[in-house]
Amino acid sequence: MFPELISARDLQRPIDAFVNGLVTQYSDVLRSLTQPLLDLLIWADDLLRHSPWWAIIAVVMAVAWLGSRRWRFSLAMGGLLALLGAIGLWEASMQTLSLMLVAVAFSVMLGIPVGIAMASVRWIRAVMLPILDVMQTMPSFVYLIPVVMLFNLGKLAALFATVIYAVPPVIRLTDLGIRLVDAEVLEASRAFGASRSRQLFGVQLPLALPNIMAGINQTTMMALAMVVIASMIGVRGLGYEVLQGINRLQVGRGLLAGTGIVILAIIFDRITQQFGHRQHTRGG
Amino acid sequence: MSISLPRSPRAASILSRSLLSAAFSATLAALSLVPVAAQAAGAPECELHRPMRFGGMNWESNLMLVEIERFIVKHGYGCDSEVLPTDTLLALASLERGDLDINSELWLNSTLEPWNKAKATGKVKRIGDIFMGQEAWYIPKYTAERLPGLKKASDLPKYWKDFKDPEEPSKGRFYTCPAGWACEVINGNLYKALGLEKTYTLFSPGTGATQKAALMSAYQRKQNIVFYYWSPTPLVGALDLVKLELPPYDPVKQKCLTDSDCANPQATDFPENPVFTAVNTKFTEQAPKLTAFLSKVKIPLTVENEAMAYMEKNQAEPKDTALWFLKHHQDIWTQWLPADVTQRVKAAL
Repeated sequence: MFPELISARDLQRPIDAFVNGLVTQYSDVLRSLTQPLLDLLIWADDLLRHSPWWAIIAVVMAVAWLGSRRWRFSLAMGGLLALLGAIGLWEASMQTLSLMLVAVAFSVMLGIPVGIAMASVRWIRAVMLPILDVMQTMPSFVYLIPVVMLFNLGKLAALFATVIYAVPPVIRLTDLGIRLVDAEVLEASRAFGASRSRQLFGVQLPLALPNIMAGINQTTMMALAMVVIASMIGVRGLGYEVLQGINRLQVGRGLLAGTGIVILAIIFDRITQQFGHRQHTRGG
Repeated sequence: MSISLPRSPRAASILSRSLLSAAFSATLAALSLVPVAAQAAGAPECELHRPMRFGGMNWESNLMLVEIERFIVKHGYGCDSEVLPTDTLLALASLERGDLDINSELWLNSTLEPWNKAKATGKVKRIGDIFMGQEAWYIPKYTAERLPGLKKASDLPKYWKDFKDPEEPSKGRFYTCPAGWACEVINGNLYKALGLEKTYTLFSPGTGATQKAALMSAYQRKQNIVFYYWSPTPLVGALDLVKLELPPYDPVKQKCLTDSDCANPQATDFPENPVFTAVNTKFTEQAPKLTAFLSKVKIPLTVENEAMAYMEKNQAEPKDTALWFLKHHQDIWTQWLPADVTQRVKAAL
């Protein structure tokens, strides 16, 4: 036995008291501050659920075509999405999709600037690396329970959980991509008198794009992996179907909903990869 | 094998701790002789030649009861025990296979169908009723004071504005059961029967942990909430709650409510939910004395609620709560045990 230097209870109690104080004093303020975020989530959810199904399939096919310029690929993506509707998961898929799109958008908006900062400033990198480790390994329920107490159950808590879990790959790969840019190329651009921002936007970012796209691709995948966790904090959608299936030992229901998640993942993965691939071929 | 050798709890615990491979068994056999020789004269001999296996279902009342029973089994009957963390349905399946000896708390209404199936195989036995669980729709006392007109569940439509759902502001929010629990179906049907579809969302909190977090947070901030919960639980024990009235219990209507395809649900109150101990049939043959003790375990609801409130308010571990119960409610547990066993347990406290 390891000798007890400080009792674990003495360590836990102040943390509990702190969280409780936070909940009673700041919860209402935090909730009203984050109301716009919640409105955005509700709007995205309404938009996807109330748009006609063919319109959504058409949009996905259009995006797929923009990424690949191949009709066959675009048709396949549309077909997969239609398959989701065919196995009775349309509404659940749309709920999941809306949360994911918002979460991925936030992750990218946060992740790329942070990645750039990490690549350019050494101490930011030193600070961020352990934070990223925490984000990727801390079991989500540990921070979700306080988040639920502060923001209530539902979409907002799920958005936090998803962003925390999904943002690290895009940060890491943006950082990596920029640092991998050849020092000689950078020096050449400096020799031609490029300013710091010209270097970044004209040279570093374009050359790092394949890596950044890979990061975005991984971020989307991670966001989808959080769908079941999101359902555990009161978000409807595919994860909720899985959870109900598991808890009632209805293997079929769980499996179908699980397949739905996989189909969404494949659609996302292939489309983002196509974008990354095109960037790569144009850039290289 | 050396498993049959130990005759004292200490020897058995040495064994269970270090029995990593059969290669050690010879050494261990030699080791186990020492405590046997040192054994005190009055110490009991366990009926089982292995640790007793408890199903550690993860809700608070069960966690406490398991620790109470383990304490008595250890100090009163000289048996080692282990707890395997699990969930109701999995625990029932393991009990049937004999991987577990006992599930201390099965809630009959929540596991009706799987339990009847398991019982039909003859491999499991229901041996004692611990208490009657209760389910209800609750509002906090401060909400009841703010809305004196709200007494019945059927009054809810008038008050939807007081329970506004932040994600759907045109409706109130009713917190139902976590996804996939049996009560989710019942609440869904009650919700239809009471005509709440137009004015309330049926909000599922996903899991028990997040449900509790959301409810506790709302209570701390004195927000109005209306929700389903069950007792005895720390939440109901520690918070000041008021039940919403439902029409009197009617078994026929209730049966329809439990069916997810119920065509014409009608509101009726929740029945009492017997909470009982289930054991593996083989275990009852191997350990008749332990079975006799376990079948007498019974805790009055008031005491159970008191224990749950103690647990919540002091953030006590299940083990500490069990000790608190054993110390403060000797009149209850001494009735479960023969005099000599009682003596030994008291001595260990």
